[in-house]
Amino acid sequence: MFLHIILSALQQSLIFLPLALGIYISYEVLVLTDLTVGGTFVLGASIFARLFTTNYSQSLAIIFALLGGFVIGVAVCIMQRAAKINSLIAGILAVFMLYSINFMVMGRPTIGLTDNRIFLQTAGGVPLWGFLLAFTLILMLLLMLLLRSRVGLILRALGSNPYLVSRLGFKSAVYLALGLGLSNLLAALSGVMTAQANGFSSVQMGEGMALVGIGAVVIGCQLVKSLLVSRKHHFSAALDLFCCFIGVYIYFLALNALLASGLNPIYLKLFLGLLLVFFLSTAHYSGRRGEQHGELAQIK
Amino acid sequence: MVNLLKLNKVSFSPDKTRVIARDMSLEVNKGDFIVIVGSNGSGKSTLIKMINRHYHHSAGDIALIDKPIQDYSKKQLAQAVVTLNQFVHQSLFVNLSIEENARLLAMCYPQSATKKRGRKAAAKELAEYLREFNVKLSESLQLPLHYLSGGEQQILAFALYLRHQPQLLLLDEHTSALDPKTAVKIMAFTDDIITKRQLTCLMTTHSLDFALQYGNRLLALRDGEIIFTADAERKKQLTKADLLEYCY
Repeated sequence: MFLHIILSALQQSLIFLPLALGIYISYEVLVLTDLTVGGTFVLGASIFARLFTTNYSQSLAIIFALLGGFVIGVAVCIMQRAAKINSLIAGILAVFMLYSINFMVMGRPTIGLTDNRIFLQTAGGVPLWGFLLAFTLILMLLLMLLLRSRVGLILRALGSNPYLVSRLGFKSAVYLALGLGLSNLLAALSGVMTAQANGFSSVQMGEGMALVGIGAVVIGCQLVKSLLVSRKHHFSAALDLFCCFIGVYIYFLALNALLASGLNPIYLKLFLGLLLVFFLSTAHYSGRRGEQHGELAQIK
Repeated sequence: MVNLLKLNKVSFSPDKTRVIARDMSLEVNKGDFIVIVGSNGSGKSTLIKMINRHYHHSAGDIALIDKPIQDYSKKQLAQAVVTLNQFVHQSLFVNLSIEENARLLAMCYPQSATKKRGRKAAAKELAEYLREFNVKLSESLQLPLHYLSGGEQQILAFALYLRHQPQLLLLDEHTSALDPKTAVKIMAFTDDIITKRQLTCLMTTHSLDFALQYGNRLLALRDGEIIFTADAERKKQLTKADLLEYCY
């Protein structure tokens, strides 16, 4: 029972982790509250499900799903910078519109995906959690390299002070588009993985995902960094990505433990919501998070 | 004397009803250290912001090395003109470390040493460079800037921005946020670095002591106009009473 909860939570965490990493890029690196990921999570699943069931190759369906997420991220950047819409509102608007787009892409509310050719339903013969663990390690390594690179540094600088990035002659809109594109690409990847593992894609599957992701990232970063004695203020890409994993894992452990304890599922969101309120309320972020890119757009 | 910056009847109106700077004309020669004084709202910061193109002037011409400033790309202007003010967070990324700030600023310069060398070698070189300014800075390369004091942040801003020789240094009340003792220390440090590097500098200040003690020329502004200028000889004869009369 105990082992089952641990492994089940691990598997769910690894499938959800790309979305949390996407949120890490927008929420922690770019210092924006971008809720679009809730919509692009479904978009990834929708594009994959529609293309796969219309006989496109699985790899091509995944590539198009990821591209779909990236394009929406760029579109949200345009909404923020060209249309001068506050990042939070731009994300809510994007999710609102994506509901129709996802419906349009799938053509119906749900598409079943039970097929032995699907990667996460066969996992090449190895246990699914083992396959996911290897995939996650590669993904985190790539993200770590990106965050440690010149582009990663400019993205973090953009989160620290978008005005100064622009003043120093960097094309801040391009880097913002890249950051939001990548964030939503990762959300779409999580959507594809969820659809593959669950065996279906649904227009409702993204509900509350962005909030859970933000909560998980905050929980992970706060808990792990509070345990560190030295170098807790120094940036470490590896540590931050590890924090995201820990946050997501704690969330799914709590979810599985609550369900296993016999809690009525109706109260699940209330309990998990209260857990997020606790961690978000002690976050060190200012109340003006996510506003600065909008303000930058208004100055120009 | 080599003319570096020329303002010809420059004005700035944010809208049709307000004129914040009116017909400002000024020639700045290479090596000049011009101190600008004036009351709040006199147009000191506006003058600085028109030169660094933070504000686009509404009328007149501003030329830097015989080229209109509007013809400079953002990057070219960032390389040629360095602006520092009392708000260090407008000059540096306070959430990032000293080493990361140095890397970002180095990216602005095509001939940057850090581009050619490895990151470790660049960090070692940075530590050696910063030791000339402040030993603590050189030993805390990975520390985010918000853990430094205001004075240390200001010294760091000078050190990092002046790692590459700019054509023009603009200082906009850069000691205003510091306590009197630190302000005196930073001002002496400022003068020292300007002299050593033979920089051309425009500095606004509310401190009449600093205005009299430092620089080789002085401008007084009132209601958006240059109302008084003093060359080196005239500046030596000025008193606090003169400045109070001109500016306030």
